[in-house]
Amino acid sequence: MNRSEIRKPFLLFLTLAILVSSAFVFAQDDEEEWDENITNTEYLFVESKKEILADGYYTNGDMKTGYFDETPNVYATFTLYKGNSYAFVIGGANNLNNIRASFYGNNFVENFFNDEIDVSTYKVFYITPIHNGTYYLKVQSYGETEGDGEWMYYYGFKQNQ
Amino acid sequence: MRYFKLLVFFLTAALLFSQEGLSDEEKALFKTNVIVPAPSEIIMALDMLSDVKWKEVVTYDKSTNYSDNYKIALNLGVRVAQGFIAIQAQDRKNTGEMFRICRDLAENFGAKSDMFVNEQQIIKLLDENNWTELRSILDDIHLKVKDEMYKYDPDFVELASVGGWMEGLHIVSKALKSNYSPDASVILYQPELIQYFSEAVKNIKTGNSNNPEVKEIAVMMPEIGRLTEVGSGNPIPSENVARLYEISSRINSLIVSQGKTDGGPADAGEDPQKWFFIYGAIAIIFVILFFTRRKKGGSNE
Repeated sequence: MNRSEIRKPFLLFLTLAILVSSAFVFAQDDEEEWDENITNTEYLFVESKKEILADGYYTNGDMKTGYFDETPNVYATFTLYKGNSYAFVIGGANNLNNIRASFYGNNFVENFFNDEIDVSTYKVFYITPIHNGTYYLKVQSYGETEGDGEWMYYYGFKQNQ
Repeated sequence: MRYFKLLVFFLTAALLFSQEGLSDEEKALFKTNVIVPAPSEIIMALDMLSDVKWKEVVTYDKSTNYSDNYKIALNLGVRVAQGFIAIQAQDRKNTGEMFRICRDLAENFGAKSDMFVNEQQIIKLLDENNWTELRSILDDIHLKVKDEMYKYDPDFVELASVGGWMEGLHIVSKALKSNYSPDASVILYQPELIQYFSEAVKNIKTGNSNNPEVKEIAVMMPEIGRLTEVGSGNPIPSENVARLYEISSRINSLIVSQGKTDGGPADAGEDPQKWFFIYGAIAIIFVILFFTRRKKGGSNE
């Protein structure tokens, strides 16, 4: 086989390699652009964490998440300490229905908040307990639309000033 | 009178509406998901309510030589809590030591070195007195290690949480005992959390609970509950605080002691009943083989 016989397949292979790699890079760029616009619980966590950290709250990053189609009502029990202030971050991503977050204390007698949260966003609720004890959170998705939306919540705390 | 009745009606309706009509069944659902607070929460709250000299309150346990996994899990919880106290006390030497000990204990549960910030980075943060970042790193390690432990056996996660909480109770009751104030004592009122740990300890598998440490915790949890059940907003009497310190000190000594304890299997992650069945099956196979060969021998004759 002489040089001219090798050159043709080599050039063909080189052209193919350039085309494939540029197509791959192009596809990757597209995916990154799409990722930047998506709202998921991880994105909500990062954004909300910046907000509460700026207010001096500390969080250990233990975010709880799940899907509304598996658990349309989310229940959680917390122990809050007098002497600390708390910031509760509650939100939903890719959810088609609004959610309602309710927070109770003193054996469900006190209602600290009971508020709606728009789709694909979060809200921060601030609480300074005057008593040590048990507090309860309910996150509820209400509406008839079915989807694969996610819920998330976590909290931060700081010493009272 | 009619207006009064109307007022009562509207007030009742408003009260019911404010509770969103939570039924007893729904209220019970909240208790199926109890969030365990980080040890640093109670430490920071007490720091706010009382003038605690942290360096005088805490005793650091530095042993890491434990053979049973249940015991390593309990100790990991204790050392993470001590790490938080070292940070709160801004104690450079012991903060560094607790990071090392937590890493050594966590490696038993498959925690890889890349989960931990390297030693040079910790030293740098200690030199800079960056306590907030150190606390954040310790919290991060704590969560990652719990994830790894969960893969190993969910019991170990509960044991680490109980160990950490018990050390928190030990330190806080010690601080309150030496400098009692009714206002600060309310911090030990945490009924749902105590109930949660009581149930969690009861549900630990025999292989991980048939040992003096977990047995003692299970026995003492109801008394801890009684001593702290004073009602929301009420102070815990000083004699109750003293008794809580006594109980938590005894449990803490059992947890950190290095001696081989009775009742724990060599590998706490294994069920001892499993070996009973394995040896039983082997014995049955031998018996069958024995009789089969005898029968064959008889027919040949």
